[in-house]
Amino acid sequence: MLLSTQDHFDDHEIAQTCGLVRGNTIRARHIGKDILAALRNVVGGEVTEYTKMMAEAREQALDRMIASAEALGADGIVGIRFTSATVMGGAAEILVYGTAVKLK
Amino acid sequence: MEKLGYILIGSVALLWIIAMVAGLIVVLPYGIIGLVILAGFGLLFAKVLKERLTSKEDDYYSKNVQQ
Repeated sequence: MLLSTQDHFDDHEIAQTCGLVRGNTIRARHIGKDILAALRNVVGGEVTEYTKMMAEAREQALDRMIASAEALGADGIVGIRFTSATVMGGAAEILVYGTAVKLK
Repeated sequence: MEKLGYILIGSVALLWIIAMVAGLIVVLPYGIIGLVILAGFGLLFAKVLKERLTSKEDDYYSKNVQQ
């Protein structure tokens, strides 16, 4: 599965548009990590607990979008965009979407 | 150090819940209201804990994705 944030692939020609595909997830870390994150807020620096949480969410959302494209029989996804929203304290949503395409 | 912190906080939380249940038993029959609420929270917590422990997808992303 080829992925691109551009509207096209430089080295492949798009033969057919399959439609919108998307994947999303909302993830949280356990309360112990939330306590650590709150303490990091006191001393400053990177909140690694939440960096990992967002990375997990990003990969899971991406995998779900790719599964959605595969179900349509697509070869690639163009125009990929990521969006993020806070749903509740200590949890975040990542939505990734794009246009599934078949290539020549 | 992190695990020791979890153990200390978890132990105190457990003792707190035990003390709460004991206090509610002492003030029965009025304490039944609090016991029912605690039982409700306990059941819901058991549900989310079971779902988390049996979720292979959550395990996969927790173990394989770093930064």
